[in-house]
Amino acid sequence: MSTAIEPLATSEPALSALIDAAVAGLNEIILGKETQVRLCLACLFARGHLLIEDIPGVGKTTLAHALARSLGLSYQRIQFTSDLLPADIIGVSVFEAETGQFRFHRGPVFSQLVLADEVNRATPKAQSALLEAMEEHQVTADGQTYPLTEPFFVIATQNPSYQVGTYPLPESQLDRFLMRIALGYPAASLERQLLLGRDRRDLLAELSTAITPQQLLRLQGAVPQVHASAALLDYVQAVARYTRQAPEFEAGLSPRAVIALLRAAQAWAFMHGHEGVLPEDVQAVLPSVVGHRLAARDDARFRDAGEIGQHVLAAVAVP
Amino acid sequence: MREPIAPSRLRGLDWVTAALAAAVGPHLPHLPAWVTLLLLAVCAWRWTADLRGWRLAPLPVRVVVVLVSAVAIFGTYRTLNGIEAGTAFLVLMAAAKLLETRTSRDLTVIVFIGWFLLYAALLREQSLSQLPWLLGSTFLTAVALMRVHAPSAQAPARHIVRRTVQLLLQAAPLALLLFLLFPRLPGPFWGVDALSEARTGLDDEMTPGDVSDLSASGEVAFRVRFFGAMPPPEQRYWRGPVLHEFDGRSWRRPRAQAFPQTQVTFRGPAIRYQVTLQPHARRWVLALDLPSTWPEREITQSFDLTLLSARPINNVAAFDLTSHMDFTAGASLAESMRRKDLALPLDGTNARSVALGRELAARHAGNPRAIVGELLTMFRQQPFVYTMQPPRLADNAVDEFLFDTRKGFCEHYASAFTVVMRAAGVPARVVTGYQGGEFNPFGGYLIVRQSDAHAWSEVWIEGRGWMRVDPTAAVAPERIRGSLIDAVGEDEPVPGRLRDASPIWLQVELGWDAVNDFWNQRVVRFDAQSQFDLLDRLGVDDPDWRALGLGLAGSLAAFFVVLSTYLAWRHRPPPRDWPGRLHDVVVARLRKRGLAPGPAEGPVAFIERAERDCPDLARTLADIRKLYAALRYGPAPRADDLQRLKHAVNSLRV
Repeated sequence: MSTAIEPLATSEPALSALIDAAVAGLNEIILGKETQVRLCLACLFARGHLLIEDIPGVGKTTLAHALARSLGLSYQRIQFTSDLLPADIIGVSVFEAETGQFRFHRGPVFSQLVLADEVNRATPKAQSALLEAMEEHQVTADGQTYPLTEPFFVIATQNPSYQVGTYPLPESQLDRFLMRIALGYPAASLERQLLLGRDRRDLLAELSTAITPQQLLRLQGAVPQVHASAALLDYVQAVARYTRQAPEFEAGLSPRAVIALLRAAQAWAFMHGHEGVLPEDVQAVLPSVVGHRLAARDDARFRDAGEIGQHVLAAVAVP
Repeated sequence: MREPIAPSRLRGLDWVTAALAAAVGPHLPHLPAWVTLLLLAVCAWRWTADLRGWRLAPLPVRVVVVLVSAVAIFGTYRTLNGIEAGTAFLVLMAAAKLLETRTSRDLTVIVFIGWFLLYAALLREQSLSQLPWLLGSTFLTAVALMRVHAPSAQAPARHIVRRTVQLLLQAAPLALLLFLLFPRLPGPFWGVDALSEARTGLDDEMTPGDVSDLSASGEVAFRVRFFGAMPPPEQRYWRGPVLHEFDGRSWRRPRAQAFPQTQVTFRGPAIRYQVTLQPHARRWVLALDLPSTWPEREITQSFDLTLLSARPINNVAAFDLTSHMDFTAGASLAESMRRKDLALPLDGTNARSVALGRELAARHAGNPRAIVGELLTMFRQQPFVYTMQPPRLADNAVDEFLFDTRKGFCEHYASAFTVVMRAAGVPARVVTGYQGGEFNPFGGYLIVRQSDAHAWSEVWIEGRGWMRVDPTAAVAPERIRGSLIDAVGEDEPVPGRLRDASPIWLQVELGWDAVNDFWNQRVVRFDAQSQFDLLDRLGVDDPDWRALGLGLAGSLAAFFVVLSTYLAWRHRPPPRDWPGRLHDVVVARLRKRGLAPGPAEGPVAFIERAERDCPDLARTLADIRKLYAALRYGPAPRADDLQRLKHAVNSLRV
């Protein structure tokens, strides 16, 4: 669904150009994953957090790093391990002898883009510390509340749950992530380019900032303004109604998930210069938004989020 | 991704076991105790297994359980067929199924066994009193089925119950249609005709020395609806089996029936009525003395004028009959009949009674009326007592009664009278049946109960034919004019309702009986003839099976047409707006080029694809796409956008 639809009348041509530049820059680094890159950006523009689930070594960390560079965001990476403590994420109060007071040393979460690597390797206690921060955009330590920097964007990567030593995120916490995407193996020709080309880390260093944090904030403010017509909302609601009635799912989409779907579709429409949200925008983001929120009653029925998305879309007529 | 599934409770197991228990309920009095206990044990085990997450029984155990229960059922009933063995076997199979319920499919099977058990309860008995339980259990079973297949495990019971009520209400018209029009097989209910239980009612043998058990029974024997005036109580003799053979103690019907048919001539007005018999497992049809016409296809008349149904009456049965009160029966008496009805045992029992008869014959030679009159006067004047608790009588029962105890009820009087008449040379026989009956003002019909059972005599008089003589009327006229309670003293075994019940309670009872009568007449006995009558009333000339089948098919079709029309209206798509209609036009035109939108394809994406596939149309299509997106999904379409879209669509030439 990456077909370029001509902008009908772009309200902010400058921002649109910025987005194209960012996409182009990121595509230089992450080869052949334009859809995923666009979804990442859409997730970011919709003020959502992103979950990348895939086996190690397909470029999850590189993608996060490239995003931080391209958007000029301060970047911290937290490697989740089974002995990670909440203080390792949030920070810790230390007693300073000279002042005779506790001073709060801020943890890695005080950063604009946080990469939570292998989030399902940590214990639920450590996971929840991060997830609270994601939801509230603030952290509380020793009774003191500290606001996080804005924009604040978490990319969490997770290993497939069948791998050993993992604590799967419960469904309620999965819901905190706007989207879940998978990167997958590269095509053969692109893999050859990877083998022949320069080290990705060198390329990263050369990547220039395409969007400044100020522009990003403006962008994020513009996304909810994208018009969603009554016909489009009918469609979104029809999708939600279908997931709630369909016997193949344990439970349907929650209202929060429906809002998330609309926001993501608005961001997608904005990125593609649509004046209003089109059903095609909803369709483009739907697999990533609902894939981790709908649990199939029969585990073997769907192989991945894409199949769940296709199943839902095929069942709901476009108004 | 997902947490490993903990051993969770099988959804709907609780409801299904409860529904199964409710369905077994009507059979409980008839099931062997071990079957009930086994079912309870299996239910308890399955629940515990569910709560504790135990493993279910392995295949060999289940096979053994099924084989052992089949053998045990066969051992108990000597068959696996019929209502009794069949239901017991079905209950055991349900228990066996519980042993292996893992999936909702297994539970569904048990639900259907439950429904079949409820249906089997109807094979056994079709009384109104069990209807609430059957309906309640049917509903509970439906709820259980809905629970098993509820879309979500958390669906609250309230919603499921509401949805079940909805479904059943939707199905109700269908059930009514099938009830009214589904072709009924004439004959016993679905060919099942094995009622092993004893039914109360008249016997074809009468032993006046023994204790009577009918008098204390308030059970309904039959109901009568008169089409016209009802005869007064003292004329309401309901003719049952006629007893000819006397062995000194008991009266019996003759085995061989090779006697010439009695000739009857009727006079006076006809009385038309309908008799609705409760099942009594015998063939006789109680008719007002003396029946003149009856449905020839179902009923024959015996040589001694009793009506006999073609088959034993094992279900509620109704017959339209006509009787005449004024008649001459048997103007001439065949010699074989005369011998039969004069016969007395040759062994010298009841010698005093025989002597009395001979004495009467000698005194009134050739005047049988005078013989009858004198014996009745003797009953009237001497201290005879009418009681339901007579002393037991030994070998010379008639002698002991006539000369010693002088206490008895109708059987004693009819028996003694007939014996003396035979000894006096007057052909006589005992007729059993019912007498009187209670009028039910709520239903406008007469109730005749087992406590109205009666016996009287018939004597044959030259020139007059057979004449009814009721010696009981001479002793206790109030028994004949009123009711049993008026004729007997305190502490007699009469139905409790007659003695203890308050008038209000009696009214309630009569009201309930009227409801029961309605149920029997309109529902249980709704047969092929009723269906034809219904069609006739609906204006079908000469209704037959064809008309019935066509009516059923037609009304079913009408039902589904109405239902689907309603559903189509309920779920009609919202009216298309102008952009939508124009888009439909575009899709229709592009179809001619072999292009059709995919199942998940949005309108914009589809037109875009069309632009690539049909370069000649690309410009127009692009205009249409932009205008459509702006009109349908854009924030503020311009005033002339719709006009432009119409224009663009019109200019699309395929």
